[in-house]
Amino acid sequence: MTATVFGQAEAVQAAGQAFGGLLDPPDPQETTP
Amino acid sequence: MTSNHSAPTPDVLADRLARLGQGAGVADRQAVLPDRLRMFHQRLLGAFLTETAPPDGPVVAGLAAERAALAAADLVHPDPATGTIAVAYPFSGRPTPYRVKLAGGPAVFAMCAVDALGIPQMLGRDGRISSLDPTSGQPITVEVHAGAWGFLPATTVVLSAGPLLAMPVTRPPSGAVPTSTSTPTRSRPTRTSELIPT
Repeated sequence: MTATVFGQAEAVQAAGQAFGGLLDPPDPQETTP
Repeated sequence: MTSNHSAPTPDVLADRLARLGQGAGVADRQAVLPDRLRMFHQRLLGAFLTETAPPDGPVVAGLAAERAALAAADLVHPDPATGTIAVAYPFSGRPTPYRVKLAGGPAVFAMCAVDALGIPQMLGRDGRISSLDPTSGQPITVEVHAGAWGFLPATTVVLSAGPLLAMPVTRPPSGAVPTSTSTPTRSRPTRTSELIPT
């Protein structure tokens, strides 16, 4: 598998997208049955 | 809108996960969970911030179906030998080369570099990541304070074995979620990114 190099800002942004909001309470308008 | 807290059938959850595709991240996979399972997932994540050892006992006891569903979603994986939580992305229940000291405590371990970078952002807190160059053993430090990030060495980059957000879905355990979907499988959690000084 080919490894890819990511810059600091890109990695920080990707991490924020991946994990940001993970502990937030569910939006009552967007509950998932 | 009224919240429905009843659990979906396993095939419904499997379909939701399959529709996400390979590029789905942890937040994407959590978002398709039913509310009750999402809250259980959040409890497990929160336990890493309050306990000195990986969550076990009262946190996960008697919740085999829920644990199986979270494993099928590639969100949480137990240690097969002990039953404790070995992985709850971004946290690792075992020591790794990615130690994250949160401002005000505690210190936790992350599964990989991107997971380590995600922990302070998930919590909205300052923190310090300590790692080592896997080749030379050179210390690497990443600090975040009030949203400003600093890498030492300053030339540090992230080396990833794939797209930064791609986390293939594991094969669901027998009886948890049907395996009729064509989602890629991963036999066990692995590190996918590293900090590398250049």
